[in-house]
Amino acid sequence: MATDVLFPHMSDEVDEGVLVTWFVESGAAVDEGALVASVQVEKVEEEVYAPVGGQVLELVVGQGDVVQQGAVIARIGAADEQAAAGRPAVVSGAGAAPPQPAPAATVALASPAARRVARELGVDLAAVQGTGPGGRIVEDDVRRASEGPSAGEPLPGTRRLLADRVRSWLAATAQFTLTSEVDVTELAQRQPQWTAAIVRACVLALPRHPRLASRWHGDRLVPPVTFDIGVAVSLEDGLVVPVIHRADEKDLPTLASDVAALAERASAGTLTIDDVSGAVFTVTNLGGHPIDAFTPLVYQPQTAILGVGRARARPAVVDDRIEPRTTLVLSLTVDHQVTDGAPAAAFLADMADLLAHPERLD
Amino acid sequence: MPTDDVLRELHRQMVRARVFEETIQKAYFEGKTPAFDIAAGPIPGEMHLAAGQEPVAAGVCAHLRPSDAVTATHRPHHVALAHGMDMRRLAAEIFGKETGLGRGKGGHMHLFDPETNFGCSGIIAEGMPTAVGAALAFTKQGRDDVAVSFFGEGAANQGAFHESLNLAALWHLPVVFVCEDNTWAISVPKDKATAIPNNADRSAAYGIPGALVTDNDVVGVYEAAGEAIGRARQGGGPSLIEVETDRLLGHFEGDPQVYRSAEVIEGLQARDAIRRFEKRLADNEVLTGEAAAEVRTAAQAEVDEAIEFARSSPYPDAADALDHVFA
Amino acid sequence: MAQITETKRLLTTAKAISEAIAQEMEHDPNVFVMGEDIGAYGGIFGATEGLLDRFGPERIMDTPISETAFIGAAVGAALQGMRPIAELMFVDFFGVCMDQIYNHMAKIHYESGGNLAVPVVLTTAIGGGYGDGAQHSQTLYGTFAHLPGMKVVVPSTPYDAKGLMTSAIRDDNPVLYMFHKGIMGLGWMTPNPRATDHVPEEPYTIPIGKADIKRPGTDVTIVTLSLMVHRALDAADALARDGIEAEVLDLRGLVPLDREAIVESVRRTGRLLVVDEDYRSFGMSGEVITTAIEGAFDYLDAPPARLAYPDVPIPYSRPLEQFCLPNPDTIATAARQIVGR
Repeated sequence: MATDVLFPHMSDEVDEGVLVTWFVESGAAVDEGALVASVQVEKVEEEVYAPVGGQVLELVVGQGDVVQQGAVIARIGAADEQAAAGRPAVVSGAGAAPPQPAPAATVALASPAARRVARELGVDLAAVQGTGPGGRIVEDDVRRASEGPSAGEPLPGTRRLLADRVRSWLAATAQFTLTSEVDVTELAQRQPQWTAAIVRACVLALPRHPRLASRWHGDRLVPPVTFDIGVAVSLEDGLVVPVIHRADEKDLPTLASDVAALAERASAGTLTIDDVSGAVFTVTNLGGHPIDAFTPLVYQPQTAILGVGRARARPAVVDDRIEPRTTLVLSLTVDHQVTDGAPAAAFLADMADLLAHPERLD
Repeated sequence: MPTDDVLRELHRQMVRARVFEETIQKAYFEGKTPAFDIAAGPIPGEMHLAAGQEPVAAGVCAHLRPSDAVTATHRPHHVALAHGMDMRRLAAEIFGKETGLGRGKGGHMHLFDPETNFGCSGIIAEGMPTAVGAALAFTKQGRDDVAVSFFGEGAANQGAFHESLNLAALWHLPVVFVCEDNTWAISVPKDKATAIPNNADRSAAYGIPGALVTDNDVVGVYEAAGEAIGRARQGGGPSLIEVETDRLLGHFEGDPQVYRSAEVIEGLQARDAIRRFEKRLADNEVLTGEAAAEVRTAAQAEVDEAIEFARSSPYPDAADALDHVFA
Repeated sequence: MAQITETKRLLTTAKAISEAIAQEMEHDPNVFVMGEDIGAYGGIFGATEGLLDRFGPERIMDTPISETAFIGAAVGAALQGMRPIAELMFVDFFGVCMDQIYNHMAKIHYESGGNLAVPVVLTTAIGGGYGDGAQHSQTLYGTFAHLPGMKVVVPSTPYDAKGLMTSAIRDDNPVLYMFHKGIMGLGWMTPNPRATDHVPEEPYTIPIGKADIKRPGTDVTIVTLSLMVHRALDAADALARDGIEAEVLDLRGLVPLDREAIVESVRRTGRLLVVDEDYRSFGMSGEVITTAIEGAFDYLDAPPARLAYPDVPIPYSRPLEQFCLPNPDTIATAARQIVGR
């Protein structure tokens, strides 16, 4: 009787994940506990191990396929067993081919030349459409695929790099997030450059909360000397965090023009190493999106990151009356290794006070 | 009648071959007792010994010089030694050593010696065509060398025998075909295999002289071969000689000889050609018993030295197996 | 194909072979020829035409129908310093003399530990396609190539035939020189326009064991030899009209096998088709494909394919025989399948 290998349940937030890498081929012999695949849900990657020893009878999903959590991704059994037809596990993806009739044929058919060129060019064969006899992927197919991203390419190189980094950050920290709704009615009336305003509030508040702006150097925690603040900028494919150096020495208009200039250079791809180095604290602003609160990820070696949700009019109780106020939610993620809930809350209280009184930001 | 010196030399050659093979026989069974394993011991593989057939080799080769070509059979030692092959290199080849004639690549059935123009074949009758070719070359090269091909009575029923006799006769080549009729083609006796009593008579089919030497008589061989070889050397064409000889041992060492009785074997031993020749030489006062014993002692010393050389020689490097496929 | 001199002279393959033999006999008195009907007849397939008149019966020796004796005699003469050329009329006849060929000619150098050389050239006619039945139509080069100790030369053109014969005679090893009846340029065989070609008059050699690109190409390598070179060239012309550029690699022999040339070509084209007039299984086609897989695996863009004689005795009746033989159409079809267009 074949044993199913399941896509692990990793998140209650979402249903699906990605089969990132197969470490075995159909037909391979595996020991119990052997690494068979890596999977990813959101930004979190997990490794999947063989629940039993035996022969891999079938790889049900392809590399790069989007898969339901809990779905069967492979079957392991005795060498002479046939793979049983299982419920469809693949939701979508370039490799989501219909199940092959024979287990041996479930590996992508590709010529040795195609495999060699794929290795050389870093092309994932699972994402290549074969045009050779019998649908075999031939060398030309790989070369074509390498020239432009194809529809099903699961993780381009830069994304893969980022994936590695965020995974390592997460693994190195003990993160928790506090949220606090702050009143920005007056600030909103000034029609500010929001990111700049938040950064300005941060550099005014942080000197009273230096632990939140400390950085790890090896096993030592170094308090800030200058307040260099990172500002997360989302790109078409990925994310970059340019730094406003000595933000505490800059007024609001200067910060606003700095933020604009850095965002532009980030989009243009002209940031220097210096532009992205040295932040002691990061602001990530999703206020332009329909997002209220979230759990930003602390960027190592920093200690905290402040997420900014959208500013909108919300009913508020003022002097026992309900009246519309403009508020936004600050989401502060901190590393529990460095600090605790109360100091983080104190920082958020200071931020709330500053943002509620925009004249203090001038 | 040969001179006394010739008689003593014929005796000496027969004894050398006998002592050599007796010593090889002992070495062959090292590692093969109590259970016989053909692959075990210092000498693996089949071992075909010629005890009893020494008169044929000695009588024929007494007339040859090193440039005369000789081809022999799977049972070649007595012929090789009589034709002057270096005993040390012969022994070393049998032991599979680097110093052997073929650097250990040939073995006891496949001995090739440019020094004495000697070759042999493990395939029945198939040494005969190459002797014809050697004789052909001698005529083309203007040499007065001759080629002699030894073969067994079993070979006389092979196509190669008849083809070789025909071609040699047709082209009038200096080749002497010598049939060692030891009666037994492994287990099948001559009268169960050959349509006529004497192969020598088959010479008539090719219009060449044929001679039959009976009773394993070394002097008879010497005389018949002298005539045939002399004729060939002088351009008189090929001849066929058949010698009725004896195979005292089995076809190969380890042969249980179920095909012939103990009485038959004992009868063969009783008329061992060497002992009979020694008695004759003693009776004729050519060689005393004491002198014959000295010949044997001297032969044993020569053989022991050759075997020691073989044993102490190194094996070839295993990877040398890949060399010498092509020149 | 690099020609050593410009020449306008045309020769058939048969005449090219006999010219090479004559030129070697001129300067080397050790060279002589033996065989059935090689004298007055000039060889059934013309390989010794004119030699008897020129060199006389002492050196151009008709033999009895006695292959064991005269091939064995060639071996024996070679061991005494001669350089005999012996002709086995049809390769199909090897059954009556194979012991001399593979147990003696091919092994004595080795068995002697390199002390003796056996410089015999054994010529023989191969191939069918003209209705000669199961015992007179085989190619069998794979059978001989399988047995160590003899070189196996199988030319396809007059130019190669002469240069390879000269090399064969000068070689100190036994060389089996196999000429296809269909490339000899004989009036009584099905005409082959490429069986006549420019051949330089002066002696020249072509190294044994060097393959030759008879037609360069980029899309598929067709490895073959002998008459099938011509069939492959015809197929390549047809393929070119469809935009498929086939490279035709003429092995020119099997031992030594020019593995480098096979690997190099397959690495360039990524695709391999072997065309073989010899029997399909356990033979040349399998060896060539193995060579490509060993040396060019990561360059193969399609499974190697072969078009060979099916594993049946050669039938007599024309439709039966032609069905079994590779031809330009079947070669082109096989090549298209590999290329995928």
